[in-house]
Amino acid sequence: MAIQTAAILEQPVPMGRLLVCPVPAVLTVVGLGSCVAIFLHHPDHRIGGLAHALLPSGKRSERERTPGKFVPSAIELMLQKFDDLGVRGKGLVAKLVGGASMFVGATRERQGIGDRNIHAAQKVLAERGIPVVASDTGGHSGRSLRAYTQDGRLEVSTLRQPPQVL
Amino acid sequence: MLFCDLDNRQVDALREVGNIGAGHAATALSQLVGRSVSLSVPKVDVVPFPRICALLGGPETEVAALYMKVYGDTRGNILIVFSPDNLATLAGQMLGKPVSSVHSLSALERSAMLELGNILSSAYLTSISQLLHLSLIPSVPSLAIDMVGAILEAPILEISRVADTALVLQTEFQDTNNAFAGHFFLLPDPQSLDTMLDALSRS
Repeated sequence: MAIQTAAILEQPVPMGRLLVCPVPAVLTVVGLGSCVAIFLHHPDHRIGGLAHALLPSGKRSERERTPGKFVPSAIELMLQKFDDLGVRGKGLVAKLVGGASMFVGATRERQGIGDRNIHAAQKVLAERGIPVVASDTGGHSGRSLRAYTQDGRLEVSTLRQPPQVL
Repeated sequence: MLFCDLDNRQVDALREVGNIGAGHAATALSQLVGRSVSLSVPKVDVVPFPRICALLGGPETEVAALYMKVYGDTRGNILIVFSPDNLATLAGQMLGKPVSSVHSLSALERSAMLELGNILSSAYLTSISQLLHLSLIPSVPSLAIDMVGAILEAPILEISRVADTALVLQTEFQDTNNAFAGHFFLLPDPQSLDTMLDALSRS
């Protein structure tokens, strides 16, 4: 039997979840629409984490039950997990993907949920002093992404378009 | 009420609702295209969100979806999902002229597709309204042709605030040549399920 080189751990991050990975990994999201993927990376520690949040805000009880679903609590929880691994907020950089408006001609209240997700993420990150170094947000297309926790590379693809690297 | 508390009798009742609604929608569709349309037995399931994606071929599969919100006495979401080619075929039949490319639709082609959403969701909801004596009104339809995963976020967004699963009434329909098979989904909001079940027990 041929010896295979060990593949790097590939880990999907489902809707409403987040993952901070202490070992080198590729964190993936397939079919991201109005949700926002927040990728935090520390270039010196070579460690990264990804949150896949659905909504810009939630009631306190909702945030406490499922923090990963709401942008502000997802970011806070992710920072706490970095902290648990000995990585302080200073030096972290962020990349944002998603926040699309999938349905053209959607009812008014639906419109802008993607935008609101992005704004919520930008606001919380700014408050925490974490710079957003790259983003691919808005528009009307679904996205898939692969985030490399070691070097902070982020590959984003849409249907019928070549993938781009952020 | 939480979805997982549904008993068998309630699931049967919801299945009957799905059956009647989809039956009327299929009749409307077959009159629209002048061909007979057959229906599967409706499924009523409480499913975790990722399973809905899996049902439609996985999160990255490209589909064409018509999306309507339901307003009135019961709230929810209607999603009608086709393969892009099938929706193009249907719109072509409605217009009497084939759709050239599903990825660069003319205003008229797009409008035919949206009208299809209007007709099917109205037929579905009107029959349920009459059965349950509830007022159910579809919103203006909207259209997306993209990855299943990205599209499904819209109807489950509000549900996801309180739940990790959705109650799904699903019916598959197809014509004899299998030229426009599609899926019809009704996802009632968790908060309005009680209204629907009350109405069911009275009818």
